[in-house]
Amino acid sequence: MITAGVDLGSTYVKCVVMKDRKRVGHAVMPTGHDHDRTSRDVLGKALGMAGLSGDMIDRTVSTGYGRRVTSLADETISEISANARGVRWVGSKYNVRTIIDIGGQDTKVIALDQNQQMINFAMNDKCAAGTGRFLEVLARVLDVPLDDLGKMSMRSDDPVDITTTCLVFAKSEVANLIFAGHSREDIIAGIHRAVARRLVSMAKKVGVEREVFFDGGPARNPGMVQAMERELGLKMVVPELPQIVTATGAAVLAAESLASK
Amino acid sequence: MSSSPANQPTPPLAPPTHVGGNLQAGIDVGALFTKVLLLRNGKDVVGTDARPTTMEPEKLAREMVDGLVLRLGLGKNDLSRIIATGQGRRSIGFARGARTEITAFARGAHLLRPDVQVVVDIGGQGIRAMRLGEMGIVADFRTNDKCSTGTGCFLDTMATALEVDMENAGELSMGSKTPETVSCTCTVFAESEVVSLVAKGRDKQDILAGLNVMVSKKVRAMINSMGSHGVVMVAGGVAQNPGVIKSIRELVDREIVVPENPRFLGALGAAAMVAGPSTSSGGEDAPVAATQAENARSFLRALFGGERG
Repeated sequence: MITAGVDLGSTYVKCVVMKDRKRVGHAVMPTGHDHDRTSRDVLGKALGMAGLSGDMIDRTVSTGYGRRVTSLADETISEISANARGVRWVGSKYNVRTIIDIGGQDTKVIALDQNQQMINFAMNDKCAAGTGRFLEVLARVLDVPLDDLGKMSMRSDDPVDITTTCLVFAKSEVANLIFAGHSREDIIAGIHRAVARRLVSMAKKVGVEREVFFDGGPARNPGMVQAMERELGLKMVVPELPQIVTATGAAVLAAESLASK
Repeated sequence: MSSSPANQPTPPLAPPTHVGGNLQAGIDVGALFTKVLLLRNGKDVVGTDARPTTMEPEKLAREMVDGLVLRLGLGKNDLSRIIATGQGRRSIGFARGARTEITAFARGAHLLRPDVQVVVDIGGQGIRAMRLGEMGIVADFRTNDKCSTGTGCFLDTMATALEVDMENAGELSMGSKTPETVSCTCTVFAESEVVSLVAKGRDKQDILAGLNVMVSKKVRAMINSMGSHGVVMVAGGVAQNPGVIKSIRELVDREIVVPENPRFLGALGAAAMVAGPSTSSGGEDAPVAATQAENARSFLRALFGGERG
């Protein structure tokens, strides 16, 4: 049984191909303007990795904010459900009770019960502070590649305080910090701490219980992970491929819906 | 806001309590612009200047004040006192006192229109609302400087995205009959939304009008939070935009008044404060004697331009 999960995020489209509920291929591409086309391209790439062809797919489930604009899907599911299902699959070894999923344009905190069923969630898609966009835009102000943020911030031992909340104001603040002579490392570490504080305060409203699972694109950033763990005061479970957890959940749900037929 | 007509009678103001001149300067150091206003005898507006705030706000303010004084053919000794307000007020070392923008806007608004009950300052990086009680004293206030939506920064960002000159954005938006709906509330996300609306070929004036609605909704929420039903004065740099004012009037069911030079209201309030007896520099301002305020008011209404609309 071959299934595919496609997660159409605001910034990246992610795809996972599963064979008998095991991941055999995955791919990530920037969303671009044509969501439908990007979703086809990213599926093609994931199939290539798996050595499979499109006609072999039994069922495709799409999720994410652009889930309804792809013509690939047999079924759509909310990213909250897909993410929770993905965490159960990826983090099956752990008793995950809290999920913090940071996306490009939104952030979700999901509380699970002992049976890993969702009992509560919170979502921020109203404000760029505390989303991946915050890191992306400020990386550009600092003229640092997004993927270098982590290793640079890990070299800081004196993070700068970022006092503004709004990303628009933070851009000016960061520019002023550069002008005032602060090192990029300390500024980046300060940015990670600012994002972590927002995420943790949001998570605390939902309720933080161990284990805490951290996923989404920015969870690939070790500086972000370190800042989160400092603010939470505990170690989190961070998967090897945090960006494709939700797409994985969609592929698992596709398999489950086939099995129930 | 020109200098005072020569034939105006001198109002029976209380004798000056200060020495060394008859000019009072109000300096409003905002996030985006620094505004300076000069009063003569605590009542006549004799000069104004606004320039983008720099990294050296004190140097800039000094230049602006000196320039205005010089233009009048006067010297530094003619400045009796200088009061700074705005978010950068503490960096103006040469000022004799610093007052919050809340106090300054309230004072300015009360001088122009004593029946104003709520003042909204839509500034470059924040929106503030105040409710005025007896004698224009601030009874309640709320500020929002955490979020840029609805501020001058917000409109600047959108004008850039739309490739429209900010100066013309207001006029342009007035022509819209069907404002676009901009659904994102965050400046950063709304900017992307605006770019995609342009890509879809939507009319710029309709997008601008839709953005004005976003500003108005934010302003409405601030006004409603003040719990007063009286006259509302809208001021600050964004109040210069006629499209925003039109939209606020459509959305808010109150009498909305706008001073002729809304960006100088804070500087006016700061300058007017120094006309009254002050206890000590830097502290909270003492209330201006009622008669003195009333006298100054009638002149300011004539000279500052009263209010529009």
